[in-house]
Amino acid sequence: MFYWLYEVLYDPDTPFKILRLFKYLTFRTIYSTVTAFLLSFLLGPVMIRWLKRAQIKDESWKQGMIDVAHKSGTPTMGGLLIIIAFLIPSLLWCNLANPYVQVILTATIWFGLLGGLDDYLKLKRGKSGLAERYKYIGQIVFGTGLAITLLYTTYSPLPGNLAPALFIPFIKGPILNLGILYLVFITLVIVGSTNAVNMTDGLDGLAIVPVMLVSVIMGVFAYVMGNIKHAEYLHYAYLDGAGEICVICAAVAGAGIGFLWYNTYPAQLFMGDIGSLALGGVLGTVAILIKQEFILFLAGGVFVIEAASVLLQKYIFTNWVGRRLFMRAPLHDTFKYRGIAEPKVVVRFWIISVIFALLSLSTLKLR
Amino acid sequence: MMGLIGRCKELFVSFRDKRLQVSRAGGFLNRARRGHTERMELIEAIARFRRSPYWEVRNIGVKLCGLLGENDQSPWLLELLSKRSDKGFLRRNAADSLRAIGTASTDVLMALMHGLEDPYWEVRSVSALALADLAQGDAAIEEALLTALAAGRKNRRGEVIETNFDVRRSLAVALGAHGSSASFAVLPALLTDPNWQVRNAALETCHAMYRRGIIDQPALAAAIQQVDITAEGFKPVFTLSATYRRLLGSIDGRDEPRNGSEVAHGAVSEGDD
Repeated sequence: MFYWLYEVLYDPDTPFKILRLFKYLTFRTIYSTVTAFLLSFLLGPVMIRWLKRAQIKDESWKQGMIDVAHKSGTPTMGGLLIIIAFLIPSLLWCNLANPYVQVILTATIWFGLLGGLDDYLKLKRGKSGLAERYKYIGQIVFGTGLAITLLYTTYSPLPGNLAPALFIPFIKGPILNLGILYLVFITLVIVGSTNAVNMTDGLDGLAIVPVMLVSVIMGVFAYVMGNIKHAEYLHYAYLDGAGEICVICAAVAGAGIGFLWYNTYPAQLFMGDIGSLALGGVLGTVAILIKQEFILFLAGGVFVIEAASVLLQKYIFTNWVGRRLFMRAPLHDTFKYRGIAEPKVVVRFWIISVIFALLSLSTLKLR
Repeated sequence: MMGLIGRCKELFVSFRDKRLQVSRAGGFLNRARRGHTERMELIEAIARFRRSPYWEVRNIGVKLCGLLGENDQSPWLLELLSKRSDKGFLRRNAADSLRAIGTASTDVLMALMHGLEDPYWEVRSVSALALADLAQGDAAIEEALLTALAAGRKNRRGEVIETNFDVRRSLAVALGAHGSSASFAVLPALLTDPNWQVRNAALETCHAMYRRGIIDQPALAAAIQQVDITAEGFKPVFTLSATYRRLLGSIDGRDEPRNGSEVAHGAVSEGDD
């Protein structure tokens, strides 16, 4: 909205010349973070009260020998707070005519609705929410739709030759052209990122900090690729308009900080699937749009490890081998089972996330 | 080509059949756990499930044996526990069900001692706990426990000890029930274990041995001096939640803890571990 005001009202000879500030990406990025933080921080107590009144709360449950009954009654669906707190600054500070922005906002709403439906059904039916297959269908439909949009429509913000190209860290050019296989690849990225964030969201504050870090890293890459000078200097493909993604990534980080205020141990508010699916979907979509899918895997190493532990344990070892590989899955539950206190596990995962984020940032130059 | 399609179809049908059977058996187990099944129904279900070609269904049958708690099913459980070629979950649950049935016959104790040598850690751990529950002060069991504890890899301190912390913890608990002065001699390794839960179990073992008259007070005092009491874990006490539960308990007519520390303890017992 502010960008639009600048476009419409800016005149260097009038008092509206101040609006030129809204042209600058860095200015909008900073204030997008601040707005998102303030919104989530100020709306947090209101949201907690509302969720409590509406009886939208976590029920007592037990995972094997890990008893989490003391968390019973904590309001859930706090992801709604994150979504509101990053959608509003995005609408305020982004150039809404930018196709990158439009695609990411669509992803937010799509996955927010999917996660919201899952949470709603959990509240209605008890423990089981939306059946796993329907969640996968929702993710696959979005992934396929995104791939078709990027590959075959004039709406695609990506240059035609770049859309199906596969980039990997440390290599300057694309390593191969995936062609039609790009459809499958994108779908895998979307399904993977969405579920990985969802699986990681098992302890107070565990998912949100890695999400913020990945979001910041993606924002840095978007800024570089959307700036012709930086892109040329660092030998990245220049993506016209991709810098705008930076504003959204900053809003995600800002909303995350505000949410963490209430979600840190002991949590007053849980993210729920509405938050984890939406955030995972947004991160996956951003990575696809800036052609940094493998950087998403690296920066979000914690998500990859957590998802891999669940996949190995649940789908291979428990079902086929008939024994456990890890003491518990996702991996954070193994550490809890080993008797490590929850805040300690969470902070250690944050530290690992920071290391992964730094490693991924180093690939900007190491190519 | 037609053969391949036929094979795929067969696989699909078998997969669907398996899912259906496992899901039905799981549903039955849930009903049984909630106490919604009759004894005869349980016995019939066990007989049906143990014949299933799918290990997942047999596994549910094993769990039902523990729920039923009757010794008639023990021979099958003993057979499962000794069959190392079968799935780890089956052996683990067989040991757990034997523990739940609670018959300390020679066959059961022998099978559980054999379970201490199982390659799968959960079987070793559950077998040790079962041995602690089913008998007390048995020299043969003590020897098996000590052998199991020493059957590991060399740790950083050069001690050859069981590698899995959960098994070490269970062995420590079992030594509390069966240990003599020979066991007390190996306790320093457990009292200085890197995992606090093992150290905690070893402390409990010292106390159990003291109560059983195996060690005297100076020995107990000397033993507990060795413990590193810093721990990576703690159990949270949510005072408000504890008060709430106490009041809820008094409304429901359950026993009401009388003072603050007991209230706190009530909250702790439901904490994460």
